[in-house]
Amino acid sequence: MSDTKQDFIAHLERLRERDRGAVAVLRRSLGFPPGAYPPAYPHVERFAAERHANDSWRLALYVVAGLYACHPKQASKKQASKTLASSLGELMRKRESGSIEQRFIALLGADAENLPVYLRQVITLLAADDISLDYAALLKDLATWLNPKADADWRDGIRQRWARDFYRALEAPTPETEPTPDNN
Amino acid sequence: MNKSFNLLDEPWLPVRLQNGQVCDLGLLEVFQRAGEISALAETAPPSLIAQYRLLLAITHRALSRSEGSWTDADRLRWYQSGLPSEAILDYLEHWRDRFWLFHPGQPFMQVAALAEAEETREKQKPWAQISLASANGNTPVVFDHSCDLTPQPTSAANVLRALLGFLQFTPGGLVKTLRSSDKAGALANTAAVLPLGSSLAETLCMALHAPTPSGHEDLPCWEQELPSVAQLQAAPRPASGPNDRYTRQTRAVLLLPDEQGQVQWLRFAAGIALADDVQAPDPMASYRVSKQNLVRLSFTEGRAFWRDLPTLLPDAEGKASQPAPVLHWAASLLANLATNEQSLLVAGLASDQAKLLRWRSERFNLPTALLLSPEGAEELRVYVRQAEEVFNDIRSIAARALAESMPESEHKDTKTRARNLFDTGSATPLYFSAAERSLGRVMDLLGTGNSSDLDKADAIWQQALLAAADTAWQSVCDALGDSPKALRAEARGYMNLMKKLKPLRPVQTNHAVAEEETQA
Repeated sequence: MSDTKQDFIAHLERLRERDRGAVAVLRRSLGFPPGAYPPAYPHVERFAAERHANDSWRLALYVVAGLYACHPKQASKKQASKTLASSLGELMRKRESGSIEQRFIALLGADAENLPVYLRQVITLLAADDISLDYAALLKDLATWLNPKADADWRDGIRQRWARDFYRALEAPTPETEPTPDNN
Repeated sequence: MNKSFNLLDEPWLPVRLQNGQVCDLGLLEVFQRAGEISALAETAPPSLIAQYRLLLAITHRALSRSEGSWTDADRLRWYQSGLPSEAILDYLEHWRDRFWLFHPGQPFMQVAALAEAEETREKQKPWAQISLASANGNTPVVFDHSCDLTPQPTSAANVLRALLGFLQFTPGGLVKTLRSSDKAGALANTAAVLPLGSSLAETLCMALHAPTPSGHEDLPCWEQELPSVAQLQAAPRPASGPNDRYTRQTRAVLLLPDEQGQVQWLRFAAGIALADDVQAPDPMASYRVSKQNLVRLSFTEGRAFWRDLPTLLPDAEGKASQPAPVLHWAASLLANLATNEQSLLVAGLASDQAKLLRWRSERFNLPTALLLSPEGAEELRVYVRQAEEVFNDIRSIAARALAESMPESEHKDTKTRARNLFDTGSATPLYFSAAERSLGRVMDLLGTGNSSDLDKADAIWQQALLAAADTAWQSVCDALGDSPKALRAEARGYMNLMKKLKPLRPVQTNHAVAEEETQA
């Protein structure tokens, strides 16, 4: 699974370098429910490994592909702990704006249905300040978050970790490398 | 009333033999077989301590009668080769007439005068009056359905065991017979401590108080003159010594047996009040220093007793604690024995004024070195203090997080509610029980005194506190819930907690030591 995630992100990076049209298609796919925009299928579907249409892994792939296309800036390997939440925390520290925290809190409270909408908003914010994030970690978390059958504790664990990452980055002038205990 | 039920012969004292069998024995047999008995098997903590105290008073008086005086060397000899049971049996036979539970003139530990006294001759109370575990008057007790109007008759042995515990642990309060209120028993609201040997004989040698100085009298109740109503009404008097304390009739009781020898009713009045004497604290009570005051050790709700363990250990400066004298007597014996470990029984009853709260009985195995050396004790004190400091950090951070997850989080009422929420939650017991799991090993390592072992103890304790903090914080997370506001509060709190715990984070070597220990 972890290799698949890395492979998928590597695939998106290759698209960014060589296929601007594909990136535009993926960006447009964000206007549709995840996995419901056929022009995006050629670029994503083979990673879904013939799963059914509403499989959370498949949905997560489409969400992440769209988000990446909006803001194609994958964190370097040295910044492996740079999750979406810590990038947002870093952004808030830079801008000193309370509205980012409000958006982040709204994101934490989102359900599977409106999560992509909130994600798109915060990714746009990160793109404005050119702050990178680790899309592979985001893909892993979304695969659980979007799964209606996933254990509620797992989902809560992810949200708790996001909150911790956000506030840690908000406090620290340099991102800490100390890993947080993963409840998953 | 005819005399019946002599404590010397009737089986009433529950004991556990070395083979694990539990049975009831009379006093004569108890002393004859003191080497075969591993411990008393009483299940009610107040009665358990009171029975040991009764046996200690008998042993002390018997030895005073046969030996006059003795030294630690004598005690060591008895510890190793058995108590002089002949002398004790002879003593008991000498006082046989004072050991009848039912006796028209001198019933054991009772006041026959209540049958004639104007204030009590017409009144009787249910026997549950002297049963600390029973409901009576307006005191409800969970799981107990005693009824004052129709008390269930109980056996003589049972009422006797209840009486012993009651006289030692009764809280002070209203009595309204002969005196409006009366003083507390010697061990009211106390966690009494007793060093245990591998047999009853060893326990009695270890906890035996020093010989009574010549020219001074310290008599147990059966050697004193029969209490009169005038004595019951007299001003409180301090104990003349441990024998008096261990057997003081702090309430006047007269059991009223029925034809089958069972007890349903009794007469009851104020007893021979025990005056406090700061100069002569109870031999089994320990005190910790709190804000320049000495506080007697008791059982506090939800507080694991090991947090007070340093109070039982020697304190070179006397600034932190005042251990029970009985531990000092045990230590003087232990200094000449090649034992690595010493068992301590901590048992008793906690009460708040006249309200009984809880009873408890715990047993700890402490390295002998800690009981003998103030330096070793100081090490443990530091560790326990560290556990308390980490806990206080968790508590204040958690209360802050809980308040932040509520509306009007800055309001002082919200903060109070948040603190209460934390205090009534599961974080506290989880934290201290998680830390306690490593305590035994840590104490063993402290006991050896080797510097490498001290390093190991350090590493293990820090690991234990980190794990305990983690467990406690998880329960705080559960209490917080999963609203975005709560997640924000949790994340902020967690970061603060991580900062506080940083000093405990193991450097590589410490971690390796702890890992190695875990695998061992």
